[in-house]
Amino acid sequence: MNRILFVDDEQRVLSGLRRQLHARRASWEMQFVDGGLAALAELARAVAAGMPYDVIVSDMRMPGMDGAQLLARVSSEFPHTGRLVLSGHADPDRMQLARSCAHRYLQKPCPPETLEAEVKQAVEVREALDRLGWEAACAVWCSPPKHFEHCASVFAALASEADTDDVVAGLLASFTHDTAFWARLGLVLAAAFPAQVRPGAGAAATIAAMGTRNILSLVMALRFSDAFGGPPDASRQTADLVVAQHIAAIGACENSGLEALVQAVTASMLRLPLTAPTAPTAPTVPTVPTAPTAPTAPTAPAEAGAPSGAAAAADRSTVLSWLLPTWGFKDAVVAAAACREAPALCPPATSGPLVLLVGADLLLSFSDPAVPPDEAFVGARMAWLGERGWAEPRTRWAAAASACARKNSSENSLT
Amino acid sequence: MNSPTGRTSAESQPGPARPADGGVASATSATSAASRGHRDVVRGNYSSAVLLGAAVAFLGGAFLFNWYLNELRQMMPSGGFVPMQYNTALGFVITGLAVVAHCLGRPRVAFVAGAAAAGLGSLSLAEGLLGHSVHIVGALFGGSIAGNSGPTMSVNTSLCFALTGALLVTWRAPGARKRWRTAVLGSLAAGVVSVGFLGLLGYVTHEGGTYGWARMSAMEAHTALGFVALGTAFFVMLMRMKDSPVVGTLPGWSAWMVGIGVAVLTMTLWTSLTASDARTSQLAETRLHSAALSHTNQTVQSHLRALKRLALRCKGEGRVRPSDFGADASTLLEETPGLSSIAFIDPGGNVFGAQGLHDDRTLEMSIGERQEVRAALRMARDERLTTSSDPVSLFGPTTDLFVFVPVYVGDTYRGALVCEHDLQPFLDWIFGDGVGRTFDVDVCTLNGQPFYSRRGGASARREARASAAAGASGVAAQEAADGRIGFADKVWIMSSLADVTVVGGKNVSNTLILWFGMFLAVALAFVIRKSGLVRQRAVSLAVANRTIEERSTSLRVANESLRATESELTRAARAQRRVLDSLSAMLIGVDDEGRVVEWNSVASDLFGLGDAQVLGQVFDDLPLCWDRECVREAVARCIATGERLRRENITVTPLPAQEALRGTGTGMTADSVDSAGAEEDAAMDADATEADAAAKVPAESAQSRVVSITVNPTQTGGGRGFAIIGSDVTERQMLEMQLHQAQKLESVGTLAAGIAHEINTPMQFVSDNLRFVSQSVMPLTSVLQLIPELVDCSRNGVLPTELAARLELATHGVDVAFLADELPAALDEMQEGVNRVTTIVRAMKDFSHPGNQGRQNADLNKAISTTVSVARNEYKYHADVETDFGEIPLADCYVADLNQVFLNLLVNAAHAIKDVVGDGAGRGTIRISTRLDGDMIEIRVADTGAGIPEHARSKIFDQFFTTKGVGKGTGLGLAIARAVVIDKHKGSIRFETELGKGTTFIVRIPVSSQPEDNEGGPRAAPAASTSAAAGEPSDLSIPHDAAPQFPAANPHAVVDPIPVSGEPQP
Repeated sequence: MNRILFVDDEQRVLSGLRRQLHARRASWEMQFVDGGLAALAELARAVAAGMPYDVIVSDMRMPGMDGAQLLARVSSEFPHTGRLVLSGHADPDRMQLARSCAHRYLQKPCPPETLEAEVKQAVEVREALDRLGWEAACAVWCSPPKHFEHCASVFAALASEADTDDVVAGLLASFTHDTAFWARLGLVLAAAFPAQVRPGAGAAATIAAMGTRNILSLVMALRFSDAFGGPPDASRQTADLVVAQHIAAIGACENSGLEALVQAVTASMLRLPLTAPTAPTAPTVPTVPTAPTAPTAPTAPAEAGAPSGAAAAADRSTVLSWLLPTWGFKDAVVAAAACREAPALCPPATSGPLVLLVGADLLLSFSDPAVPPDEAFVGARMAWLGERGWAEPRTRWAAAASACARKNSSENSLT
Repeated sequence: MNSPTGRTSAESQPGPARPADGGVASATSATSAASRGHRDVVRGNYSSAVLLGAAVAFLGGAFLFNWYLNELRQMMPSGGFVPMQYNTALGFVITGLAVVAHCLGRPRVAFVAGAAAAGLGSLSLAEGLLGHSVHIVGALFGGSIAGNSGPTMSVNTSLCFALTGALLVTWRAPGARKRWRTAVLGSLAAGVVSVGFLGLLGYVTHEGGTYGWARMSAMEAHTALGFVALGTAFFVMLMRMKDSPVVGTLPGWSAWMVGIGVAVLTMTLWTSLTASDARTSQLAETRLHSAALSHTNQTVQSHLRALKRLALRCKGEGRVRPSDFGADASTLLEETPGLSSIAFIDPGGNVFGAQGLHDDRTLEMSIGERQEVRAALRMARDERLTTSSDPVSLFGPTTDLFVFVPVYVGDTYRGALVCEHDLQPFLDWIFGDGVGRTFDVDVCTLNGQPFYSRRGGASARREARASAAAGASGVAAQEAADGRIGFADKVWIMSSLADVTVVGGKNVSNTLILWFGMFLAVALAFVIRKSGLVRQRAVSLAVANRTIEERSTSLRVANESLRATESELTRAARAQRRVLDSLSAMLIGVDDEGRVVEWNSVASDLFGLGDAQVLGQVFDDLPLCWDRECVREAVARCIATGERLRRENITVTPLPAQEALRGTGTGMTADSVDSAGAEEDAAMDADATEADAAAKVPAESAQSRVVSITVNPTQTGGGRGFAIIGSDVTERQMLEMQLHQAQKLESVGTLAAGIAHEINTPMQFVSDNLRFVSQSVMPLTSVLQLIPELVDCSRNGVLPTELAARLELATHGVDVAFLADELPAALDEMQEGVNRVTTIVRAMKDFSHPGNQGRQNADLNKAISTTVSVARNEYKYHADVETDFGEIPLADCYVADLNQVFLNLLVNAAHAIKDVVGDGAGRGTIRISTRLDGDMIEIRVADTGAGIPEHARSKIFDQFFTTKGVGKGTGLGLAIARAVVIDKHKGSIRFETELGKGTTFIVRIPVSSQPEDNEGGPRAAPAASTSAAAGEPSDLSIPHDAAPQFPAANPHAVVDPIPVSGEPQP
C-alpha cells in the first residue's frame, strides 16, 4: 500500500484526481490537501502515525506557500518522500524551478496513466534505494541535481539536438576553469581517444579535439560520477581508465563511430557505487537528517553473496534509468549505463555503446590474472553477447586491447 | 619629305593608269589637305615631260612633213647639214607620242608605241650594221619618198631608238621588280641622253666621230637634239615615278636647273651650229664632202653590188637567157634610181636583152661608137674588173656613165653586163638636197674632166665659180683631196665652195629652229616654273596647312578645355542631381512664376511623374494626387508670410502611368485634375473617418505614401518661389504601428503563459472527471439493463434469485454510494471547467481578435470584463478585482485598442500590488469602476499598490520608460495607452497617486466621437478636456505638449512654422 499526497489550490483538480484515482484505492492510499501548509501538516501527521507518504504530488502556483517552497521543505524534512510536480504552467522558468525541487515534473493536463507510472516508478526507485542502503542512496534521492551553475540549461542542452554548438560551448565555458577536473577528464579521454586527445591537454584543446557536444556529455558524466560515485579513489579511477582503453580497443576492432565510443565512455562513468548496505563504505555523504523512523533495516543486503549482488545490480539499474534522464543524457547512454549493471534485464534491442561497455567490462574482469573472474558476472555477459551474435569475441577484443595498451604505454614512455 | 610624299601617293588613286603614281616628289611638301593642288602638281610636273615628248613628236612630224614637201632645206641649220632621215623623223613622232601618251595616262599606247620604236630602232640598227636596207619605212610613205631609196638611219640613231623603245617597253613591262626596273629605266634613259648629247656636242666641237660612227652615216643634229629632249623627258618621268631613286633626293630647284640647263644648252648648241665664219664654212665644206661622199659612195656601191649580183646570176646560168635576164634586169632597174638601162654584151659586142630607156640598137650604137665606152668594155674584159666609162652625153645635156661588169665562166669571157648610169639625178639627189643652196658643187674626174656642176647662191658668183673651177680644177681637186668618189674603176673628185653671203645671213629655217628652241626653252621653263609654282603653292599651302593645323590644334585645345569645363559643369550638375536624387526626402522647387524647377527622384516616385513631365510646368496645374487644398493653403501662407511651414501626414498617391501621360500629354485641365484630386481626397477622408487610422495606409493603395512636408520660401523678401521638402514617413508610421502591435503582442505574450495555466488547470480536472465518469458508467450499464426486469418483478412483487444474483454480479465492485455522490459533482465540475475554458478563450478572442480592429459601438463594461478574465492569472494570486460598472452607453471606439489600454492598466495594477504583497499570503484589491460623466465615459482603475514615486510621475507615459526589470517590460504600455486614448479617441488619461496607498488611473472616453476638424487645431478639444479633468492636487494629467503622438491618428496635423513652434516632435 503506497501512500500518496496530492496538493493543489484548485479544489476541483483535487476532486477530479480523487475520482479518477478512486479505482486504485486498493493499492494507493491517497490524501488530498489544498495548500502547502496543510500538506506539511499532513506529512508530519503521517510520519508521526508511522505511515509516511511515499510520494507527494504538488501543484506549483498556490496562494501562500507555493509548490517550490513546499517541496523544498519536504525534501529536507521528509527526504524519503518522492516529489512530483503536477502544474499547469508551461513557461520554462517555472518548469526549471519545479525540476530543481522535484524528482519529476508533470504537465497538466496529465493523463492518469502517466501519473500512475511516475508515481509507481518513484516508489520503486525509493524502494530500490532503500534496499541498496539509504545512507548512500540519499545523495541520489534527496538532493536534486543542483551541483553546479546552469545545470538546468546544461541538461536541456544535453538532451536537445536543437541547440547550436555556440550555446553548448557557452555552457562549457563555465566548467573550463576547473583545472583538476579537466586533468582527470583528460586522463580518461586520452585513454579512450588516444588519437584525439593527448594527456595533459588543456580544456580548450580537449574541447576543440572532441567537439562541444561530445565533451559536454563526457563532462556531465564525470560530474555525475563525482556527485554519486562517492569519493574518487585510485582503484575506481584506474578501473575507469582501463574500461575506457578497452572501449577504445573494441571500438577500433568493431569500427565503431566516434559517437558510439563517446556514448560508451560516457556510460562507463555513469555508475552508482551502491553495492550493499553491509559494505563499510562510510561515505562522506552530507549528513541528512535521518528520518526518525528510518526505513526498516534493509533485509536483502544482509545476506551477502551472488544473489544479493545480482539484486543490487538490478536495483542500481532501476535507479540509474530513473535518475539519468533528469540529467539530460541521451536514451542510448541511459540504456547503456543502466543495462551494464544487469544485461539480462535490458530490452532485447542492441545498442552499440552497450556492447562496447559490456565487452570492456568483460575484458576488465580478466585483466588481473591474480584475481579469478567472477563466473556469474562473466557468464551473464558472455551469454548476453552470444544472444546478440557476438560469439566469442573475447580473444579478438583482448588482443586489440593488449595492442592498444602496448601502444599507449610506449607512447607514454616516449612522452 | 619622304613620309609626306608617301602619304600623298597613298591618298591618290592607286590605279596603274594614273601617272600620278610617280608622286609629287620635289614639287610638294605633301599637303595632304589639297587634293586639287596635288593633282595640279602632278599635271604640272608631268606636263614638262608631255611638252618634251610633244616637242620631239613635233620635230619628227615637221621633218616628215618637209620630206613630204621635199622642202628639207627649210629645216636645216646650214647648207652643209644632212637632213634628218624620214625614218628617224617617224621614230621621233612615235616616241614623242609615246611619251605624251604615257604621261597622259595611256601606258598601253605608250607600250605599243615603244614596242614600235624599239622595232624600228633595232631593225634600222641591223640594217646599218649589215649595210642591207629592207626599206621598212619606205613602204610606209609610198611614192613620194619610196622611190628614193636614200640612206637609212644612222647607227647611233638606230641605237637610240632601240634604247628608247626598250625603255618604253620596260616601263610598262609587268612583273618587273621595281628596283631593277628603275635601274634599267635610268640607264636606258641615260644612254639615250648621252648618245644624243654626244652627237650634239660633236656638231658643236666638230668631232665627227661623236655623231658619225664607223664612217657610215652620221646622226643628224636635229636627231641628237631630239634624243636629248627625249631622254630628258624620260628623266622627268623617272623622277615622277614612285620609289624612283632620284625622287625625293632632288631639291625643288633642280627642276629649274634642268629646265634652264636644257634651254641654255639648246641655245648654245644652235647658236654655235648656226654661227658663220670662214672656218665654219670650210669645216662645213669638209663635212659636206665627207657626208656627201660617204653617201655617194654608199649609193654607188649598192648599185655596183646589185649589178654584180646580176652578173653573177648571168654567170651562174652559163648562158644568159634573155627572158630571165630581162626579168632580173627590169627588177634592178626599178629598184635602183639612176640606172637608165641594162643590157648584156656578148664577146662579139652584140647587145641584147636591153631593158630600160634605150633599146638594143641604141645601146649598141652608143657602145660601139664611143671610144671611151669601148675602152672601158675592153678594160673590163681584160682586167676582169668592173669598170665604168667616162661620162658621156648621149642625148642632150644628161651625163651618163656606162658600167661594165664582165662575166667569166672559168677563164672564158662570156660577155659583160652593161648598165647605163644616169648620174644627174643621182648627184642631184646627193648634192641638191643634202648640200642645199648655200654651196656650189663641182664634180670632175681625176683627169680634170668635169661632169657635174651645181650652183647655189647668186648667179654672178656662180659664173665666177665656174670659170675658177674650169681654170683651177687641179687646185680644187687638191684642195678637196678627201672628196673622192670611187665608182668602179673611176675616182671622181668633188669640190664645193660655200656661198659666204648666203651662209653668213640667217636662214629662215635657222630662225625657225631658233624659235623652236626658244619656244622649247620657254615652254620648259614655264612648265618647270609652273611646277615650281605649284610646288610653291604647295609649300605655301603646306605652310597654310600648318598654320591651320596649329590653329586647329589650339582650337582643339581650347575646345578640350571648354569641353572639360563643360563636362566639369555637367558632372557638377549631375553630382548635384545625384545628391538631390539620393536624398531620401522629396524635393520640389518652384520658381517665382510658379513653375517647377526642381523635382527629384523621390518626388518622381511619389507622384508617378517623371521630371521630364513636370519641369517647367506650372506647379498648381500639375496632376498631383495629394491633399491639394492643404498644400495650397500652406504654400499661400508661406508666400504671404515668408515663413517655413510644416504639414504632417499628407497621403500621396502616385498617378497611374497612363493617367500621368494623359495629364501632361493631352493637356488635362488643372480643374479636372483638381476636382479628381478633391474627390479622391474626400473619399480618403471618408475612409479615414471610418477605418482604423493606423491601418489606413496599408488599407489604401499599396503605393500610397504618407509624407510630412515643409514649405520653404526660397526667395528672400517675399518672392513667390518656394521649395517643398517632404519626408516619407510611411515607414515611420508603419514602424510605429508595428511598435504598437508589438506592445500588444507583448501584453498578449505576457498573458499567454497565464492563459495556458488558466486553460490547463480546468483541462486537468475535466479530463480526470471524464475518465472517472466513463469508467464508472461502464459497469452501470449492465445494472441499467436489469432495471426493466426489476420493474417487472416489483410489479409482480417477486424478485427471482436468479435476477438478484445477476444484480449482485452487476453491482459487484461498484461503489454505488460513491458514484451516486460523485457522478453529479463530476459532471458539474466538468461543465464548470469547460465553461472556464470557453470563457477564457472567448475573452482572448474578444480581447484581440483581428475582426474588431475597426471603430464600432462597444460596451466598455463588457470590454473591461473580458480584459479582467484574460488577465486573471496575472492578479489572482495577489489581488482581487472588484468591478463597479455604472450605466454607460455604448461608446464609439476602437475597442481592441481600448482593451489593450485596460489590460495595461490592470497588469500594472496587479504588478504594483504584487510588489507590495510579494509572495506572502497578503492580497491587494484592484477596483475598476465606470460611470458616465456628461458625454464622456470615465473608467477608473485603482490599485492598493505602493503608488508612483515622485521622480517617475512625469515620465510614466514616455515611451520606453519602465520601472520593471530588464526583460519584464518594454516601457511601452502606458505610452500606447496614452496614444490610444488621446490621439485615437480624443479622450484623456491621467492618474492620481498616493505613496503607500495606491494609484488610480482615470480614463475618459467620449461616448461618440465627433468628426474631426482636420484643418483646425485638432488637438485643441482633447487638450481642453484633459485639463478640465485635472482637478485634484495630485492630478498629474499629462501636459498636452509632452504627449507622444502617434501621427496615424491625426492626419494632416498642422504644425506651426518651425521657428515659432518649439514643440518637440515625437
